[in-house]
Amino acid sequence: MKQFLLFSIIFLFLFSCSYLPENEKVEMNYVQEETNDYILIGEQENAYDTCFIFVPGGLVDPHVYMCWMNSFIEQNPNYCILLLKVPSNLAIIDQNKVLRVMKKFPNIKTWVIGGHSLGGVVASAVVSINPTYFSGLILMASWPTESSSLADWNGLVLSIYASNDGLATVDEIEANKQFLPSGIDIDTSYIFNKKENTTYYFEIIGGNHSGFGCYGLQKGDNQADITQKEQQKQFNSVISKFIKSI
Amino acid sequence: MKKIHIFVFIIVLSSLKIFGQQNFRISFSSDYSFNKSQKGFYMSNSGFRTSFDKLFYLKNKSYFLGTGLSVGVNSVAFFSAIDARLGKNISIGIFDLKIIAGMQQGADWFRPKPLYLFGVYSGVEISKQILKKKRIGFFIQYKYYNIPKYKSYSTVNQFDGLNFGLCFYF
Repeated sequence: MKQFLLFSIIFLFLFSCSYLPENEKVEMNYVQEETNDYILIGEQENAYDTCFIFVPGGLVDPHVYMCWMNSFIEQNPNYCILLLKVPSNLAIIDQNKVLRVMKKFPNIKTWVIGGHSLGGVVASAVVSINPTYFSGLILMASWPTESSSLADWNGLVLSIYASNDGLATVDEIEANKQFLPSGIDIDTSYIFNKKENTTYYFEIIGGNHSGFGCYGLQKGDNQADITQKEQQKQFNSVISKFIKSI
Repeated sequence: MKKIHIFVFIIVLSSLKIFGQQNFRISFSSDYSFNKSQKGFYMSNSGFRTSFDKLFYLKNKSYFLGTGLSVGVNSVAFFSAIDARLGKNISIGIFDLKIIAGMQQGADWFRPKPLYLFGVYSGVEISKQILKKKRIGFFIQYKYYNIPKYKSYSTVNQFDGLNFGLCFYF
């Protein structure tokens, strides 16, 4: 029995590996503060009105998102990003961490929350419990569960998905539209007009699930037809416009 | 440095064959972080450890030497590690107090490859016999660990704090 328990635990752990960034040297140019709980990315410390709090995907080290976040800050120096660090890289274990971290930044007036994959599921759940705390929600290859449906939420949602995604397929995005406010399909040239209770759907043609970070090809994902840089350039441009419109 | 750890581990392993009584111990623990970057309880940073401790006597004083395997979640990811610990036993009435010092090395589980982890800890444990050969105890220890190669990804790769939990001897 003891041996069985021991081997089961070891087996479980071997399949619980988190993805590290693909490049061994992560650019930290815009990191203002890094703690056990979060990474604050921006051009200056504590001088922001609007911040984008981002929940990483399941079993993915948060630093894999630094590659596109640096470009985002370059383009949007007036905003900050709070990249959440979650226990064992599974945000679902501690969903309340989002609010705990937000309370450390009382000067920030407008919060936009987002997440990739499982992180998006957690971000949606947090919004469904605290709908007035957030002005916008950005989902990357993700959707809310039925129990945290946001169909009646007054905020704005940007749902970004990729055509070659092997883990969050286009069919699944379609099937779960019922849990989000009514939607409009957009492209990179779309000009956001502030509306309430709307979801903007942006499809990255040729992109994949792993392209929302920089960690190589995730197990179960499909090959992309475009480069990660191209995918990130596309969604960075849309996210920038979306946040500016809030 | 790694070689020193391995050397110590081999010494402990060989010592186990020589000395007397052996206890099987399991423990569950959690962390209170002392990190400059963030202080506080990290209940999610928890672990499970199994070990074999051997008692031995020097100049009529009781000591123990043990090897163990830990698995759990630390501030970075899932980890597993082997460790060696040494301590002194002191009897206080019905309680057994242990003063412990140990070191561990292992891996944080990442893809494409795990990252090497090493740590040291020191603290006290108090236990009481509940049934024949079965004991229950509480321990609290200062723990420091370092994941050297994580430095290329993060500015926070060294952690310290209090590690506390329950242990059972069989």
